[in-house]
Amino acid sequence: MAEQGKVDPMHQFMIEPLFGTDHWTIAGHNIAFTNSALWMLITFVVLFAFVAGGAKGQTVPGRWQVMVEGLVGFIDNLLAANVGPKGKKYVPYIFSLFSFILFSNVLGLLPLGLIKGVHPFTSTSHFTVTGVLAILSFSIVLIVGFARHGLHFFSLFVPHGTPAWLLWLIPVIELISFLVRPFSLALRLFFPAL
Amino acid sequence: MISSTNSGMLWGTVVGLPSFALMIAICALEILVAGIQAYVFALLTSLYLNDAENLH
Repeated sequence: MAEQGKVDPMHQFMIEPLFGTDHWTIAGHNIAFTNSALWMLITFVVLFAFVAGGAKGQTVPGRWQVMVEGLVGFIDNLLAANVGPKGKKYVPYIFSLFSFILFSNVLGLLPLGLIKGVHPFTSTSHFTVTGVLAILSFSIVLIVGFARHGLHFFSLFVPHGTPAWLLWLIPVIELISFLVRPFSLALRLFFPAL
Repeated sequence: MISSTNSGMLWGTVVGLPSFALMIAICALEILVAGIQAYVFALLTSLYLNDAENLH
């Protein structure tokens, strides 16, 4: 067997504009439709088809409906266990988040590269994408926190049972650990870039 | 993998089969990681939402 040609391991992470390179601009920035955008769109379409195919509401569910209901039930349980009854209203958001990341990851793993001309791409392997998801989650926490508790939300930085003589230190540590959250979310997803 | 199989029974068994098994295992690992990443993101977001919703 001869040389199979050089394999470039970084090629799968390359952002390539597909069309709109010449005149699609917003405020001087080019917004070409890239392969990343294409795969996010594919993820959305596949996810939409998956949910639509199972949303039949039959009393005796078929296999597809069981799959979709299982996924929704899983997220519902996650929120019920972690947030409690107030978490019910976040089910749509967490469901979208979970299934978008899952579908995007799995679509990127499919051996579609075997078909000539098809280049699979994992949009969640880029920090821009995971970063936006993390900022979204972080903003929701901030908005909900301040809307529900007002300035009392800052008591998050003073955990229960903090001794008075440590009041100068604990809030600083809590503040840092709070501000690091979006990076922790985004990097955890992007760094093991698979 | 294909080269080792072509060079006879011995190399096919000694080199090809373990490589094949390893590739399958790594693919399984990647699928596992794909699921875990999504789960961890959802879990952490729900934990942070819990902080925002139920303040002590």
